[in-house]
Amino acid sequence: MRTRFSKQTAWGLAALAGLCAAGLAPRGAAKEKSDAPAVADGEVVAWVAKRVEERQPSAQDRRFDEIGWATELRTAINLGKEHHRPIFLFTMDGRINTGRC
Amino acid sequence: MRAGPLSDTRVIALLNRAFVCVYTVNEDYVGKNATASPEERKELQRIHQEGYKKKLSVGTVHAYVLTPDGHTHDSLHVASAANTDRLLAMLRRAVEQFRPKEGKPIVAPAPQSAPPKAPADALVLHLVSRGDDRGSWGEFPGENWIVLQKKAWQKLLPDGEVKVGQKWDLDREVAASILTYFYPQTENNHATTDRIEKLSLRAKVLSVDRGKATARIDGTLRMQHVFYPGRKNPDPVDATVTGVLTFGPGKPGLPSLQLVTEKATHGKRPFKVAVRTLAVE
Repeated sequence: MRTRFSKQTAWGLAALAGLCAAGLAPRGAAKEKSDAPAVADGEVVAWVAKRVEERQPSAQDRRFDEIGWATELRTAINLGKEHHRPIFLFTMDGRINTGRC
Repeated sequence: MRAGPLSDTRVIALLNRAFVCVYTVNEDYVGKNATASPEERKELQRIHQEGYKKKLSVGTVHAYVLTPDGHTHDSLHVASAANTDRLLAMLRRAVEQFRPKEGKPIVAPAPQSAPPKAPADALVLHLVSRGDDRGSWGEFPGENWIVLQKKAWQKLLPDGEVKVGQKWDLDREVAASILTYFYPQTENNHATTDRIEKLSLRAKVLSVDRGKATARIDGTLRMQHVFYPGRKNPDPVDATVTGVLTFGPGKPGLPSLQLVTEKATHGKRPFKVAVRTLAVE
């Protein structure tokens, strides 16, 4: 019981000291703390690289690429004639290949 | 369509073995900024006209089947074509009718989001952006390819000798040409830099080792972006950005740039962005 009380008191004093220090600290110092980057200098290279990698399109995102697409309508029609295959044409607003559509 | 039937194994297999496939972007075929040749545009108009004569569903966002000699044969509005079973049924009817010699895809499959041609001394950046939500607008990410000519990327670097701890602001105009694409998947992709209200990208050198400098980048973005084209009700994009820039001070080689969002929202919609150079030295 005594030990517990002592710990609480210690935490309280520490918190009070922290509040006082914050209150007494110059405004510039407080601002500097709030402007500090979320990721430390020593970690930022790996942190950024990991997120860049994680955010790349997945294989599932790229299944559209598994279809053999002709680059132009007239090219597709010529290939259809040449190989006696029907032509599948999809027309749309925006660019389905980049997802900006 | 892309996340639905055009990612379905059965549809992909049937298209590849029995059809010639092509997609067109309406903006390239219609309007003052159309880039398709007059011959291409004429062909698309012909396909539409033939569809009308046959009393098929005709429109700008449609799936069509053409006969092997290029005449309009069948069609589905995208709302129907997005149903995999309906699209498969249309494709199977065509196979039944035309009995094509099935085999390998006539055109070899290849990445459809590919880097643009650029001079060897240009910095090519690839941007990926995805809303945290899933479903129609979040199924696959949006991508942009950004080409910074030498004169532009040089403005990202500091002048003179580079020292650890050195700080500088990245050129606003060049930064804007990248950050203007920091928005999630939306129907509107009119990405002019005048949408940007406030931006900052500040670099700080972390190390200089064997002629290579590594700097961290921290910044923020505030811009307005409309979800649907032509509307005048933008939502704000707010983003905090962290990145890494590596370069050889005083050397001619290309720098390497990576940027990611720490936090980003478009209105209330959270999203994530990653940018990287195409080839990291």
